Amino acid sequence: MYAELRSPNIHEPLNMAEYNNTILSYRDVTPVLWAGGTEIMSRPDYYPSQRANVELISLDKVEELHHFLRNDRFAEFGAMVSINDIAQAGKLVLPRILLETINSTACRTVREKITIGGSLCTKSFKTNLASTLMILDAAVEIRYLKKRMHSKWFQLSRIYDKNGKLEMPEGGLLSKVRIAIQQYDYQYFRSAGTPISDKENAVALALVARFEQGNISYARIIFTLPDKGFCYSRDLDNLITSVQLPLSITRYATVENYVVDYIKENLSGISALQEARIRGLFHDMFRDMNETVLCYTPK
Amino acid sequence: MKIELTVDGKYLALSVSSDKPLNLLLRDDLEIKSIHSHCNGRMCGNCIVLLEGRAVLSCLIPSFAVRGRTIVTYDGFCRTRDYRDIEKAFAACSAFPCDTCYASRVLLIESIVRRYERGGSDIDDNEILQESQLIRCFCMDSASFLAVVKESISNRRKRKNVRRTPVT
Repeated sequence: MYAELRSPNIHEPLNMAEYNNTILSYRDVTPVLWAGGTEIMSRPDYYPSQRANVELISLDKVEELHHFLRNDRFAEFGAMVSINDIAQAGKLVLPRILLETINSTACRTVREKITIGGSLCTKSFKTNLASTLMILDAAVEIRYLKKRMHSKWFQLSRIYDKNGKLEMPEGGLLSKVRIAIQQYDYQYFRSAGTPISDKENAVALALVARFEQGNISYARIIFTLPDKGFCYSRDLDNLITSVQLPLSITRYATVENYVVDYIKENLSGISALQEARIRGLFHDMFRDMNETVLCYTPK
Repeated sequence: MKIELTVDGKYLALSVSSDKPLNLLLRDDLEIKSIHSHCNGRMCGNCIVLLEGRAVLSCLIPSFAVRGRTIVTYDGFCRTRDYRDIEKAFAACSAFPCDTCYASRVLLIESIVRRYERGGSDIDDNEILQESQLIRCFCMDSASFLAVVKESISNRRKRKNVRRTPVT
């Protein structure tokens, strides 16, 4: 059964210079980039596969991709740093919502295998980490080949299209992620279902907000539907910013219906369970926000 | 592709497909009996092995990533003294998991015990409860798993005479 399959050629560059040389040697083919491998190996057709005759570049030994640095304004992580290491290293400085997202991703044994670069570049589903980093205005460094190797910083939201499809340059490598060190007055993250094993029904909601005299002065909200994409727009941000807290039940129903209709309009084929979960998460968030505002004491 | 690795203390040189999952390599090529199934990376949790002393799901590790590394499976681990600490803990807590997941549970517990043995930090119940959900078998509840882990840590510390804060 497996006799016709050729084992993929594995390249294991030790640094970025070696990586560049490897990419330049294979200009005609697009090699498969291998980070932690969690997503690639959980595809049902991973092994044995007819498309196994490929050049595969394992990034595990590239030294520069394991670095991380921190100053007063931001933390910068190499793409191969595991999300568990990020949570451990940034426990005291990173936004709480990011730590909550990481801790909800999987158990520690799996988190040690998942890399930040890999979780942003998954093709078969969208991760909650990507959406949380988007509302935190994270930036990413992309290296790509165009006659020679170039590198450029982008806002994370620019590497996805409006529905969350990955739009990296051909053969591009996400090498660094930069996260601003700032805290918000209100941070909320909840997920329902698991994106890896039940992506058709999983949903996550993330929101960061700032308050001014008990009102919302700044808000960013994002919904993640792993099999369909992200729902993230200025309209939803403005809607959240415009509401007067505490929100009454009648006004809440109007806002909720508007949000659900907006998501349905932008992401087609939402299952009934996903819709129920969106409503549930949104309801919980507003109840929590009402509580927070009623108890809010300005600094 | 030729890979050299150490499995249960034996140094081996194998010729395998470079992207073959580790659990298939152990089950088909090395005939390790404790690896029962291949879930295609759906994280059933029944293929846990220790890679350099840390628990990993072997269905998520490709063959090329284990070159020159040390793997311990349940077949090798059950002959060590460390295994006795965990076996005693299962008996003390009257927890008896099924044959399908027992091997994976033992190796997962060993990995957690080593983590606390190395770090010496306070036991984080939530983290252990989250770890218990890695194995998707309903023969044992999370509370019993937590009790077994705590008992195993206590047994290990007693055996190695480690003076740390008592397990509560």
